[in-house]
Amino acid sequence: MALIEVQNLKKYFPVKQGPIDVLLRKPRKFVKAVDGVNFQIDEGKSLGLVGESGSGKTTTGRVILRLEEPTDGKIIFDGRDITKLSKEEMRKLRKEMQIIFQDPMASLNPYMRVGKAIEHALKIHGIGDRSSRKEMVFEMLRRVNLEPAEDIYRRYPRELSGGQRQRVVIARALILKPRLVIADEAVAMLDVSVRSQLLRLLQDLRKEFNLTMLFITHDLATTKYVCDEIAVMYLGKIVEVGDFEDIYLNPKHPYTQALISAVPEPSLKKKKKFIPEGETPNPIDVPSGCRFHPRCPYRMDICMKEEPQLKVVEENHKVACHLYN
Amino acid sequence: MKVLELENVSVRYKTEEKTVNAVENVSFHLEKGETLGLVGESGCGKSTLGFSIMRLLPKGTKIDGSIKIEGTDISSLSDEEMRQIRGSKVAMIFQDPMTSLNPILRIEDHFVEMILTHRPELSKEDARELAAKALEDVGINRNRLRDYPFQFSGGMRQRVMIALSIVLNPAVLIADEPTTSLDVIVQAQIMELLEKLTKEHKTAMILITHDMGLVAEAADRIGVMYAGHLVELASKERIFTNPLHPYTVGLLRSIPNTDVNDKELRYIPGSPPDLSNPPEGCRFAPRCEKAMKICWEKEPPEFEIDGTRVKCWLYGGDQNGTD
Repeated sequence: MALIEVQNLKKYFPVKQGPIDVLLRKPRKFVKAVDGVNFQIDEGKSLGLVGESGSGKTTTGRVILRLEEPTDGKIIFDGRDITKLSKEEMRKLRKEMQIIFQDPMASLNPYMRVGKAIEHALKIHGIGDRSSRKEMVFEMLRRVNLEPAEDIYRRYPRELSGGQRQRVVIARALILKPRLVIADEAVAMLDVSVRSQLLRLLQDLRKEFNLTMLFITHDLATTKYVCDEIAVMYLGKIVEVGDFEDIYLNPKHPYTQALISAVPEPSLKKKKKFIPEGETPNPIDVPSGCRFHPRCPYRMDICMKEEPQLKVVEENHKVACHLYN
Repeated sequence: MKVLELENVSVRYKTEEKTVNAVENVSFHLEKGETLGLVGESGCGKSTLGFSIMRLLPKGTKIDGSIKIEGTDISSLSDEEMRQIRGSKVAMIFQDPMTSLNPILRIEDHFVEMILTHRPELSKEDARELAAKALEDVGINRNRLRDYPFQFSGGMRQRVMIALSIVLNPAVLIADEPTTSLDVIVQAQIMELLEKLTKEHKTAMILITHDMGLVAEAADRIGVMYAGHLVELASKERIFTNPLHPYTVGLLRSIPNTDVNDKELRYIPGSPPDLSNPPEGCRFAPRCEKAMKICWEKEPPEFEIDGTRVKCWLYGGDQNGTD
């Protein structure tokens, strides 16, 4: 059963208008960060949400947790529509939905010992008493390989390395035993050897805690290790979704094909590249029809007029592209 | 022809309480038109090395050894003489182009100021024409010369920076993580552009990056840095088919590959040492699975094996002290 499902999720941010725009009665413009996204993640499964900057992947994650209010659409968590829950109800629910951000230095209070920061999460949700909480923190620190736990407990974030800090953030998220974890570029800032260590940790924790995960990243290669399925986003929409293997070996959407071919391969084999011209357009003026059409080498007349819908092309593989109609 | 020669270059920073040995005894040279990839993780000294070639490190930083650009030892130059060399003989592009461009100057002004500094004999008109050509070379329409930096996207800004850095045709270009802040498709466009331009102008380039994939595609030779040391230097082919230093081996192994059936994550345990208090002996020894007794005691010299330069005791002729 789906633990989390979003239906036609939209998030528009109004663009600031100057006094002259107001006087001229110019219509208000919107940044369409997320523009009709649908997906679901079954309990215990992990979905990789892949896209470039401006694709709306981060906003999608934030809207699911209601850190941003959705403009339209539905968010269903464990069979319950949470789109309209009050702030207070949402706060209680966040125990079950945690998020891990890219920069641990920005998610940790620099003046709070890291052990206290983890303990704080328990306190807020009224779990355990003073001594049992401390014991739980030690146990969690050990679990994310931060040892000796008693020593790490007393450290401040600045006294830890980047990788260690991100482990603290993971520990803080998981100590609440959440059912859904949203990891937003959680390993992007780290060097390659440390990144692999953390991916391994996430891999293990996922199994151990039976986590459902939304893994948001710009790096397709890392999704292989922690995701069952991948959804590729472009300009606020999902253009392709399927199993990792299918997406990687047999990408259908021209954008996905470009994304995969553009990754520099650390080997001597010369890779065939398919690089579209230009850059992702501004999400204020979204192109008509298929959003990718101005950059797409295969574009047809219909692509400029009609927006393609996500359709099943193979088992468990959906694409939004007129080429497959 | 050697356009850049580094010999025993060491860089030391002094902070309030400690001295940091950011780079130690690095030697290499660059042939005309060649691309050297300098790879390593954060804090390995690769960017510091780039900055020391430009002599752009903060005052109080101590640089030992010699750095020669087209035969001129830059340590003997005055600040004014160095300014003459920067931009005309050696240029640098950075990760974030927005911090390298002045937000209140038009693109044109950046070019004109730079061109006239180095070639005062030119008229403003000539300088503008040169700038327009350089912009066209990087795929930007010449009428955008009158625009401001904020009117360009990230990828376009980096194109402007590239145009600025090559307009005077320097012999050496230092590209410090030039595509790190860009999306992967734009990165591919920029790398293609850099390769094309350096080939056309026969510019030698040092490509500083943490991304093994980038150097695999763009470099002729690769230098691997770890904790301030150049631990291995070899042709690209050698590095990828026969890496010698255990750190290089570990680094290559920990890169996520694209084999869908291989989901095992490999990594080098531990993290790099504190450079204000580096370990005695080999700096990689605490993380090295092949560490021997001597590795903990004595810093390895550089050995040469079939054209690869490697700083590791495994390749020392007589391994007395082997355990």
